[in-house]
Amino acid sequence: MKELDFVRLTLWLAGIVIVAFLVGWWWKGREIRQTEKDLAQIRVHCAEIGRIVKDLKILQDERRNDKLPQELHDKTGIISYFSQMAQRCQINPSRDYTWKPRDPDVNKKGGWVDQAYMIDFKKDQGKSRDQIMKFIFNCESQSRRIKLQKARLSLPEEWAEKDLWNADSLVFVQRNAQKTAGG
Amino acid sequence: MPTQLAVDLSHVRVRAVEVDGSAKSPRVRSFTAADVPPPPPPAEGEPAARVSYAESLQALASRRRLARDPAGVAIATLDCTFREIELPFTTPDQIDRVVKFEAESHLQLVDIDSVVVSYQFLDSDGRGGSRLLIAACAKEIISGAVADLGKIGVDPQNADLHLTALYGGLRATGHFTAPPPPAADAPPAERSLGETVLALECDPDLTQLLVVRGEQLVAARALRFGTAPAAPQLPAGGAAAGGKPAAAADVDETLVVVDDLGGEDGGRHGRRGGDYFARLRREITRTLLKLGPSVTAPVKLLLMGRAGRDAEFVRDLGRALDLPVEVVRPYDRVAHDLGTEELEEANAEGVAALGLALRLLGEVGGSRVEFRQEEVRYARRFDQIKVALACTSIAALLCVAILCLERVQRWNTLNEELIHATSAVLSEHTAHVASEVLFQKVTGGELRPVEATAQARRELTKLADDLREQLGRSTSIPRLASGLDYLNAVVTAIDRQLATIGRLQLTTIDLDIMKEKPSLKLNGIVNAPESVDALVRALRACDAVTGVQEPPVAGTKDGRLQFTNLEIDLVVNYDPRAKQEGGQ
Repeated sequence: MKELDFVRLTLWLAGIVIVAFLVGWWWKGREIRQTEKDLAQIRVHCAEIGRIVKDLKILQDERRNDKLPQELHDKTGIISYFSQMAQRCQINPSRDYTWKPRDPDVNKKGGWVDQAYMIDFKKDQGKSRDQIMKFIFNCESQSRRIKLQKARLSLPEEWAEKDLWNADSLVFVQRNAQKTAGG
Repeated sequence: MPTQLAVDLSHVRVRAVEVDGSAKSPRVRSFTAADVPPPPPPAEGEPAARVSYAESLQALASRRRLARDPAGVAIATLDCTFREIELPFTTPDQIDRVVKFEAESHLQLVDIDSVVVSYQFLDSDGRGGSRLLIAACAKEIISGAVADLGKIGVDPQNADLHLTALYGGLRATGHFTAPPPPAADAPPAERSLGETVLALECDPDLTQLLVVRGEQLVAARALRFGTAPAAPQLPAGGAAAGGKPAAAADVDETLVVVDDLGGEDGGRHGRRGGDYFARLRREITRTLLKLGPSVTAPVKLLLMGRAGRDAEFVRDLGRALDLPVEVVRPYDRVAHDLGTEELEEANAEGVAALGLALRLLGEVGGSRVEFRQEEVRYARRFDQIKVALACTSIAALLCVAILCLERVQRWNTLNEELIHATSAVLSEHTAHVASEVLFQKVTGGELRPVEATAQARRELTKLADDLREQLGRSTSIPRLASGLDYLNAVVTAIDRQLATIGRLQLTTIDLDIMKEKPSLKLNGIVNAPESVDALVRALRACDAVTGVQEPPVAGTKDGRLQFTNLEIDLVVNYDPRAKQEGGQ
């Protein structure tokens, strides 16, 4: 039987193990480079997601505080919105003004819908400047989507001393995204 | 088969034979020989210096480009010590196991660890035992010879012995006749063992005697007397100095007897028992007597060595030994590429080299002496470096293993970091999307972490965009201008200039920003015409206003001034917050 050459055997084994280790070393190196690349990308994602989440929190807070109903066709909700705002400044919604929505103006190109609401105060129901301004302020501040677009205020001579104003016409417009508006 | 190189060493000559072909059909390619310079005389009390072959080998190599590998060497007979021993077995395996221990008791003056012991099978005793010629050669001598050969790039695989290589050369070239096969019913005692033949190589420093029965070597002796100094005067071509053949008288006049210690105390030929032939005859007789009745009287003498080229020497030798002398010409019996003079020289002194060369080609039955054993064993180039290579490879293995471990550890750290980062991102995603699908996909291996975070980013971006749209903050849907902002800006501008304007009583405010050009119309009462100008200036200074036209004025009953239709052109899509942010 041929004598076993331990040195040769050691060389062979060492060679095979070295080659295996080198392959493993190269393969791990590739993985490390890939992981570093992934990690760099995840860091970028992480930073972006951080900003997005911060915005989201603000938006969600804003959404929670937005008193305007989400849907344009929710008439009860809109009426209720104006009523609440009016009552906060001692304006009686059923007695002091009439509320009338106009037809929605769909901006197909931009993808939004403008819905105007006309509030006509009755001629005999004069209101102080504070009441009228408070009402306008309340209506605008409780939702970012609704703004005053037209206002015609007059001070009749007979109410001048009492500083009672006649709000002939207030037009508020609510702007919603088309899909949110159900368009 | 590649060309093989056989180098035969002796203390006076080195010979090299290049041979190729096979054992059955060898072809001698070249034969070269060179003299060995005598070693310097040793200092008093110092041992004699080893004979160096380097110079002679360099001379050989410079004369001809010799093959280097494979190669063999025949160690000089004078460098070895010989004994005959008997062992109770005949198989090489059994002999190999005990030969060195057996030799130790026969070589009492030799440190057995400093020598390599090899042997040549001589004869069997017919009772299961064998008679061996053991040869011991100092490892220092062998390594020295190998080192000298190394200087011309030759690393011999085999180290034979000159004495036994002679036998191999003669046997392979058919100088011995095998006994006829015995009759099937012949009793063992009547079986012929063959004729006895003597073979002599007469060198200047040594006479080597072989006794061969049939084809079997039965005795080999190195007789430490030679034909010196006549032989060294012979040129390489075998001719005497000056190109003329050595005259018998000259040879006779210069023959000396070299004693067993190498001294020339025998004196000149014909003096004080120093007759070369007489002493040779005595030694041969002693050898044959020692062999006993198993050896018949020799039938002829085969003569080798450069002395064989001297006809008178041959005649005298035959006469002295009373035997027919045949000068051997082994090279005539093999194919060769040698020239005439080269052939003569090879025939005279190249028998041992030829024997070694044929052994390298695979010829069996000749010499089996092998000195490349133990520390001086032949190692291929790879074997010479394999231990260093193994150590280096183990060191390399350790280094590579450490590198691998470092990489694995680094990968683990990065992976952990990756998992934490992904978990953080997906947690935010899950909190807002209320779905753990991405988590499950990453855990299940369906998505890579980076793909999952990219998807989470996309989903969260979409969620935020949807929410922005719902809240009217989308960048794609234009901002709705606020009437309150316009009123506030105008009132603030008037308030700033109120001291200049004086008392101002507004009676009508008509705001319309739904038009393409937003406008504000005011009616009111002021105290003086300057107040109207001041009012117009104040309004023009307002950042929500683009232009103001001078209003028509009229006096009132109480002496004040009434202005009507004060038309104010407003900035389109006025946003005071954007201006503040821009200012910051």
